[in-house]
Amino acid sequence: MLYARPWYRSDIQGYHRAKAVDATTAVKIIKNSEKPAFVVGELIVRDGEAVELLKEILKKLRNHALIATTPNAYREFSEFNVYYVNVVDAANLIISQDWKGLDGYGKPDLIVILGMFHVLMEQTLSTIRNFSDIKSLAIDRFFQNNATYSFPNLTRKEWLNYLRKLSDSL
Amino acid sequence: MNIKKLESKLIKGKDIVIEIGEVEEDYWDEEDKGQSKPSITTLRHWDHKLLKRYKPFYSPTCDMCCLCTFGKCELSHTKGACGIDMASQQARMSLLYVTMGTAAHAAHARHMLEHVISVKGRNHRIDLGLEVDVEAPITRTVVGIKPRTLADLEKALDYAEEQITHVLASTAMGQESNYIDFESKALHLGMIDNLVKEIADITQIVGYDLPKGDENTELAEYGFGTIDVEKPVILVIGHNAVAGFEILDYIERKNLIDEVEVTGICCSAHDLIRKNARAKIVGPFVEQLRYVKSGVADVIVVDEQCVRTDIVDIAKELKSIVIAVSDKACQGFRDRTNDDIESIISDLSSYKEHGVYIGDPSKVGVVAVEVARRIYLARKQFKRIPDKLEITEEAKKCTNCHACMRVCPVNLDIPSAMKKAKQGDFQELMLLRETCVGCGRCNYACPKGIDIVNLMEKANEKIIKEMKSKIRAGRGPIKDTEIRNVGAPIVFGEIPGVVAFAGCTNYYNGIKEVGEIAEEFLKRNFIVVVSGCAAMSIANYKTSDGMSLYEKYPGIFDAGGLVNVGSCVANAHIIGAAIKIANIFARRPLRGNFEEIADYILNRVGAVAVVWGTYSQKALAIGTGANRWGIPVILGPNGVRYRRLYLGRKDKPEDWEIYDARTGKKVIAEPAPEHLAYVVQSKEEAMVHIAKLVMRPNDTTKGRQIKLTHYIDLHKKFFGKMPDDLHLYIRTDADIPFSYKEEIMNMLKEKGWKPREIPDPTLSKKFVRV
Repeated sequence: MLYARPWYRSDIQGYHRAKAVDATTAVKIIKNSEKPAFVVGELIVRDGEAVELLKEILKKLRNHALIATTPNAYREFSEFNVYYVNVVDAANLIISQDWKGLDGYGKPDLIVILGMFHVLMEQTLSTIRNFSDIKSLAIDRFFQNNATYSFPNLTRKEWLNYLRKLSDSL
Repeated sequence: MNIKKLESKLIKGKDIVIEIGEVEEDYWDEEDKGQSKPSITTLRHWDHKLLKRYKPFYSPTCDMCCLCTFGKCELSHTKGACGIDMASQQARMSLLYVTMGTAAHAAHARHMLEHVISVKGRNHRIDLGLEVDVEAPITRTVVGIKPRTLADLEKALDYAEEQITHVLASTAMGQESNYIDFESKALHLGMIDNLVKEIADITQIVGYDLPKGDENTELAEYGFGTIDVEKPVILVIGHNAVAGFEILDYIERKNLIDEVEVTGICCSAHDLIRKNARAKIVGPFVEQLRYVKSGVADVIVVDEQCVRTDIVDIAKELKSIVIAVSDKACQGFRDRTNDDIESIISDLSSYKEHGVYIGDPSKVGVVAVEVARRIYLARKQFKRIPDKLEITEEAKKCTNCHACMRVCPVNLDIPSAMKKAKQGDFQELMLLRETCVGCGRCNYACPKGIDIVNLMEKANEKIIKEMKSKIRAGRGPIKDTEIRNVGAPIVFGEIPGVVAFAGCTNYYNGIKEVGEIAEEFLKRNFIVVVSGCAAMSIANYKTSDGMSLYEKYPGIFDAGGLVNVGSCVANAHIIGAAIKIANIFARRPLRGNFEEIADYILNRVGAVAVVWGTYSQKALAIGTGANRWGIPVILGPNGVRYRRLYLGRKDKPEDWEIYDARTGKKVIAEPAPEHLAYVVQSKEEAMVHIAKLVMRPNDTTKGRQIKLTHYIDLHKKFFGKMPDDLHLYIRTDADIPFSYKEEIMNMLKEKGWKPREIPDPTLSKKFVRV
């Protein structure tokens, strides 16, 4: 079992700890989800290699998962017929009782998230964790303590390997 | 009055004492609309209307409540020992932030007012000049008085302080329980924050003869590079410039203006240049640690708010003398308020003490200047940052443990930069400074004690020394004459909007972005109004032709104007301008008429505030106040740490139901403004949302066309596509921008759009005219 400390020393919310997962477990989590939704932030766009790997992942999941990007990442991923949302708006909808989902057919049961300014991701995951039962999986380079599951803290090389494994196994 | 014996048909008595506390003279003939001096429940119904549409969104930074010994309690999906749930706890915490912020501004106002009264007298007139008749729009509306003297401002401040006490009491264990009511109290105190800032700024304007709405205030020098380090240098840090004013007065009296450098950081610096544009602004809060560590300042005068709590320790190492002047921040120093001036100067110059607390501003003026003059030559050795060889040696200590990066709020890759610096390559270190927020956490985290902040400074030495810019001194209020000129074009939408920049420098992606956003909207003929650290950040930005935006754009409150109102307390004039539009242009009375004015602003005045670098409690108080008046606020990404936003849902038409004041019918309007307190992730998102949030249900078709053009244009430019919510903002064919007509018509067809009437919008049934 993997163990990880929050990347930021101050990212201690309370009793909750995200479960650190490797790429193999992440694949299982995504495959087990009935309605996963990817939320892709714009910071991923700064890393060309990561973008290419993510595109491979999204290609494989386009019939299984909903894909949303933050507005700045939209151009890069528009080929996937993505929704674009502000991340705070997205969290607000996710926790709302009356929201029917991006496609109008119900809420996702898993949010897979990456590519956001750390503080913003941390806080929106806190909202989702505290005000809904929806699970979340953070696949960024740094451990996200507010997610249900998260990659541990990784070097860039390790992280790209994790993404590659996701792409290969999904 | 004593009456020994009284006998009349009605009363018989003896030894009667009659005391008359105060004679209220009502010299304002405007009818009071019944909401003067509102209690914490008077405007609750208005808050509930707002919060029904803009529901609180909470993002807890902590799952615990640690506020009493019944806990601490974990609140995630459960309740605490007192019964509180997570939403109410988050509401309570953000209310506490607002209360802290409001109290800081109120205490500032109280100090300023007491000091000016002690000098000028209680009956000193409030006169903001011939072009500012509506001198205190917030005071008029909220307190229901038209202040003529400082004594009137005292009454207004008494009321404000009472409200702060009541609201703070509501956060104690066993009091308020409902999150919406916590939010209502936050909105109430936000409004009070706006009020006390207005009081503080008017007091200093009339007390120190600061500019009274002049759009052509002087351009003052800005930046590290403008400071002559060979002279004695005084640095003033904080927000209450009384001591700084005394320094300037003393320098003028002694004719030392060319001999001593008076520099400032944060809002006191703004107010110094409002009084005398020969003073210089080093920069906003982000520069505080860096500048103090540079050792350039011989004497550091710290007043109140936004003063780093490690200044004293750093100054001591560098033999800079610190003078604390605020009872809120005595810094552990001995109180020398009542001591002889010469003895204080002597003790400080000889380093018998490295700092003092002096509560008398006039003494501070003399002490600061004379100590700086006596010690500056001996301190020259401290006015330096390490040379490049020293950087390399220092960097060699780095073990690449990543402790610095794991505390850096913007996740700067310091380890990578240190690796390069070890080999004499400082390029990465140089680039880090652009995004660094100057907090110094990396220094404190480094197990090897490397002074990373100083290394970054050295790597940027050339740029820092050449950092010279201009900032227009804060002008204070917006003139009534300007409001008469722009009232109609703003309300009808022909001036696309007013964008107000306020707040701190906790930027997630560097200081330059505020300037970039401001320039975009200046080019687009919006009115851009600025204050506080945001106004300084804008001075930090140079256009492609090497000019400061203040040099390039006029200071007038009109399309394409860049209006610096001044320090944070001066941003009350921005809300004041929105109120004046309702009053001067639309003839809505002000006295005790909060709800009608706020309803007017929410539905008709296309203003939006941007607080891009949020960190302080005061910034939340300012923003929450703007929200109660109906002005939406966009926060930078760090704003999500305030724990609470007010978000609208454009997918729920029923949330946007309003009354048509002409017919009394309920109608569904567009989601405008869509949010009241909103966070975005990037400057591009901010720009698109500014263009969107200035739309109001009252826009004329011509005005809506103009606003939609900007919205579409920015959206396409940054995101590469048309906005997908255009159909919500198009009421009739005439709203459609001509240049996008065909594209939009196709979109509308797909969405099954139907035209609708443009209402005379109001949220409150009581403002229906039939």
